[in-house]
Amino acid sequence: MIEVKDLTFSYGKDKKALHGLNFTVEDGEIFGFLGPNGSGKSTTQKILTGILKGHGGKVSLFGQDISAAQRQEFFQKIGVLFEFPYLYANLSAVDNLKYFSSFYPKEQIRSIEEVLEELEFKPDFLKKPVSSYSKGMRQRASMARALISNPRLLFLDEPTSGLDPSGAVLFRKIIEEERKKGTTVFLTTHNMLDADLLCDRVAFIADGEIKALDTPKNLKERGSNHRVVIDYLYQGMREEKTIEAPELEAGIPFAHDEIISIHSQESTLEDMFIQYTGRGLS
Amino acid sequence: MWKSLYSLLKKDCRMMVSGKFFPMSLGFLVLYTLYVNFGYIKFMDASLYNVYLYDPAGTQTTVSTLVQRVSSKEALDAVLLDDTNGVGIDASAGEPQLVFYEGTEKADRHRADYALSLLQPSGHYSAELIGSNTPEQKARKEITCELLFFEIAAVGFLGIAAVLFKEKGMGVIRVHAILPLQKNLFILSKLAVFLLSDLVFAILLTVLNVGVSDTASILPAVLLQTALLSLIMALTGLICALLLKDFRQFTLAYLLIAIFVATPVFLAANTAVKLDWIYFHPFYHIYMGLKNAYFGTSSNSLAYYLGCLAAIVVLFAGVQRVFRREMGKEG
Amino acid sequence: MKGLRYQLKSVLHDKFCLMTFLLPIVVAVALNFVGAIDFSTLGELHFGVLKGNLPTQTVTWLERYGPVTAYPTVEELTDAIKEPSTNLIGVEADGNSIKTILSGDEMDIFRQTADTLPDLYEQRNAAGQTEVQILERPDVMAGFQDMFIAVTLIVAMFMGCTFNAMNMISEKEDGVAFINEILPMTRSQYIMQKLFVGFICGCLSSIITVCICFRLSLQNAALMLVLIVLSAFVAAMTGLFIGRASNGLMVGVVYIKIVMLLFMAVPILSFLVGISQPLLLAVCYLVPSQATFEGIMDLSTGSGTAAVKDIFILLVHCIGWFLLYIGLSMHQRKNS
Repeated sequence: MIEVKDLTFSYGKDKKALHGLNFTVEDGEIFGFLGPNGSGKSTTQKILTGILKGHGGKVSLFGQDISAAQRQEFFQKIGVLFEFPYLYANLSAVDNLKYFSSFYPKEQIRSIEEVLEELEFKPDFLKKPVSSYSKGMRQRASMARALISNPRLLFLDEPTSGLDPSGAVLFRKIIEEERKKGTTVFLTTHNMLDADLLCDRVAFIADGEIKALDTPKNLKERGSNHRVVIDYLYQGMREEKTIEAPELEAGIPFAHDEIISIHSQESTLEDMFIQYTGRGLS
Repeated sequence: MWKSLYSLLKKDCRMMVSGKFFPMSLGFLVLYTLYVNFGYIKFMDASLYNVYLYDPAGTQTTVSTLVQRVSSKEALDAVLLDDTNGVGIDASAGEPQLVFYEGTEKADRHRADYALSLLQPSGHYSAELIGSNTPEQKARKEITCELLFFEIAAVGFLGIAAVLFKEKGMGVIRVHAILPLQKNLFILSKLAVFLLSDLVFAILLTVLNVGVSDTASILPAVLLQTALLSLIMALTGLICALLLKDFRQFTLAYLLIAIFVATPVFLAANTAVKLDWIYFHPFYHIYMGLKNAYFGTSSNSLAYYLGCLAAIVVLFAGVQRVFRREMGKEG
Repeated sequence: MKGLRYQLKSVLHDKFCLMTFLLPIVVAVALNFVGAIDFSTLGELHFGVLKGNLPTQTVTWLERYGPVTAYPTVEELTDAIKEPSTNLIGVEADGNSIKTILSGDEMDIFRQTADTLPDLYEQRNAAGQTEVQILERPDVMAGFQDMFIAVTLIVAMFMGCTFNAMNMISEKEDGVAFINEILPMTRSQYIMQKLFVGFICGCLSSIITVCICFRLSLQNAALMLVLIVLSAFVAAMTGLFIGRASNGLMVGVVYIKIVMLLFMAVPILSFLVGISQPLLLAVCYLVPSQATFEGIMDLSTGSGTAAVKDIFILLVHCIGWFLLYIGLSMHQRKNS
């Protein structure tokens, strides 16, 4: 679906933002771009969505070089969720969606009511202007705008930003549904949990370079120390012990009355990111 | 493409409605019409100097009816103090003696000779008239032209920038970057909406203040000039709105344009004050084009129209470039 | 009012407010030091003749009254006469006399001049023998300059509404308005702070403008100061209303423009049209700048006592608008 070879980009003479990115995104895959602010995530997304021109290297989407692609045809196939919910504040969610969907072929458009219901949008606010919405509702309306045209390729920038935990869970569920439909998702985020739970593969980007690219599981395993921490009760006292995972094969190797919990000491994606890039996600 | 354009036009109209642009334009139309019909027409005239005669002995027998007699020297002094442009004739000593407050050398000569001529008026003479407008028609056309120019150059310019600043603030411009539509349509729809509203405004203003019969003959030319000015100002407003960071900065630029650019144009075009450099002022030529349209004098050369078209093309190219840059900006 | 210092700092850092403050001062300097607007040249007679049509003595005679331009062809002369922006009087030979040509859209002054010009030509030899006493014009500003200066001063006084309106609108836009709601600041403290900002800036701008434009006696200067203080207070009140009513910068700017247009247009119109009807005059006095304008005109002609009436009208405006604002605030608080 997406093929990027030696992608470079500079904002002016001295400000090189991308230093030769190489990656591919398969059809139906959820691909994550994980990196802190200023790492080149947004620049990459803008190039892939055709907003930014003048890049070096090769970028192909839908099997076609992006510079040669028919622009209208290209935009009909993609959906983009920006970092901030950009909507007409004086129009309602429904009117915003009607307006933005009017640019797509009719047969491609989903039912506005259906999409908003899926996003658990409050029915009372359907006809009220966006200026009266909370942050979460604006994000829902914005996501609806990205999904309304049934895109084949979805670009999501910080999709769960501004959402409460239940909203974040809902958005992840919707993204999964999209993947099941065969939609390819390009997810840029610095939220470790989103990347871990959603992405088939994740790329760590820092200072305009991809530092690592693999599945979240593989990336975490690389840094794993194969130890487990066991919380247990012994003679009325609560204690904790750390043992090597292979030791468990022979059973619990110490005296105990009751096992309370067993936790693996697996690294988080953030730990791996720091290891690979030398800096944190925020 | 037409479907996209229709959606954009609908959206821009809604933006203008929510920004109270149309009621504001209507308000200005009413204000201008009241001003023209109940203010300007009534005071935009000046009569020739009043002549006052103090002739206690009645020595001046063949005096014109335009001369106003006063009963005393004090009354003559008082009336001249009140009307410093008037001319006093003191005939108390037999021979008429002129007294008036200083003006310019040439005007004073004329005042003196005119006052004396009224003491021996000859037959009624009227100058030959070769034009087609009465003073009232001329005044109406002049003021309507000025008001239309002001409305489009100042008010309309502010209106289009306000709409674009709103969209900039909402961040929706970058959403249009990823929509399947020709990006130029975003600009074209705004130009179309503002052009249409300016043309309608021009028609209404002209009909209400110049009259239906006079309007019929001049309307096509007026609308052509209105269209040129509207496009130029709309594109200028768009460029300013895209280049400047926020509306606050824009209001400063707008104030400078409204005051320092329009004022020399009005002075040069409507008075005998001639500024040597005015021919290099682009707004002067556009204003004169509009004025010529109102007065039915077709003195606009091919160079003028080519210049206007060139300006529109250059401004449009500038807007396109700046618009694409704006689309790629961060939130 | 410790916070007032920072309020004023915030206003003075606002380029829009700074420009508003300086604009009347700059215009006053232009009106006063660059040179008086000489309207006498604007009313000067201007004649157009056909080359070779009139005898040299006739052209010389015409030049006594104004410049004479000779046009090579009849068409050019006709076009020049018809040109709307000038009031050219065409003059042609008519036997031993002259005839005049106009386009027909000139003001009466030029029509009457053209109608009487042949008479003057007939009597040209007798004219030079009469005794003429030319008096020096009284020390009043010529023509419309009074009005221009008065309008500039009105702008200076009433622009005070811009300062506190912009201050309040900026607070709303930046979210500082929410912070104001949780500060230990009473409603009256807030009103006084905002009023003071607009009042002080309006007064300062006006005082500087007056110093540039006028040379007043001590008594008239005191009356002018009272006029400034009252007008600036009304302007600051207007700014409070605008700041309260505007939900954004764009709307605020539009309201300010409408208010300034009204404040300038009403006195100018009534001056030019010359309203004498008591009812119409009373309606004009509903706009506070009408009283200010008349007060300035009275003071500029030296009639200070007439300005007292205008000061009284302004005082009524000050009290009225203040009470209206307080009433509206209390009503709103009751409802919420």
